[in-house]
Amino acid sequence: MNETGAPDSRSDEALIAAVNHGDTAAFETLYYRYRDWVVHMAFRFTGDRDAALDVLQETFLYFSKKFPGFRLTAKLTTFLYPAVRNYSIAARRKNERFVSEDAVSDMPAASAAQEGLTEVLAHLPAEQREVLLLRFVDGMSMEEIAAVVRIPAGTVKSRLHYALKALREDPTTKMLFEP
Amino acid sequence: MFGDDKVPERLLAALRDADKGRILVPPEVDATILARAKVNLARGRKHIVIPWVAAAAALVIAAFVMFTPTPKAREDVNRDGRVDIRDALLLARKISSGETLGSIWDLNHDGRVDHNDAAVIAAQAVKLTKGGAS
Repeated sequence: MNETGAPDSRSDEALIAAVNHGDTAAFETLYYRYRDWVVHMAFRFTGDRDAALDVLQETFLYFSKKFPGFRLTAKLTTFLYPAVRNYSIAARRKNERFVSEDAVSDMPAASAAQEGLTEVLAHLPAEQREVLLLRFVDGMSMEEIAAVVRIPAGTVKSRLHYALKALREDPTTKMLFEP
Repeated sequence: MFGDDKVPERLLAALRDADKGRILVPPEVDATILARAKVNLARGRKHIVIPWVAAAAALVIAAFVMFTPTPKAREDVNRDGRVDIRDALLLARKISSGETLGSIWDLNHDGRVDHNDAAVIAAQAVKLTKGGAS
């Protein structure tokens, strides 16, 4: 769907091929297809709305500079994620803010367990929280996470293990593991 | 008991809930990003077009140079692309045979076509200078 409301059923690959041939409307379609995902990821990292919007802009400008000649070898999110991550880290440094305190603590907590989870997530090392959310919120496979974060699959597994261990052991979140 | 790759639905729901902050992107931000992206896209195409134009121009020039016939020297009597002693011999033979030859073969511009014209070609073929070396 593009901004005018007209659906564009073309695949990402077809849209990218069109952009490679100078079709700027195809780029616009890709923008609206991935905009919310990018800004959401950016907010996850930065915990700041304005910084997330800056990251959105930087990410799509970076993407636009790849044309013509861009070749999609994996999912588009796999290509975009490292850019979002790097721009977010830069924005966070620039703003001298810490995602662990900001991003998660701003989120609403509906119950004691939810509140506990928010608190535990806030205190998890950023790299463990990243892997945890990519796996269970974004539904990425271990291999996909390894690819987007650019770490070995073994490191993904170990970060995920320690993140879940922290949640299992915390008195406020351990009930979330009860079937 | 759950492993690291499978967690209870309850935890999944709680994680999704904790991550659901939604940011609305103002239309003016969309417009700014898309306008700047389109500038980049246009610039990218210009960069790719210029080398193609240059390459095409180079090809045209090369083809022109390769396929445009170079004017043949009058002295190249046998039209083999070079002036050598064979041209001198051929012209001498034509003169000796009494063949009527046009003024084009009056290479020394003395108003006649004779063996001196063949000698002009021979001199050119062996690059003898006037008053030549011994």
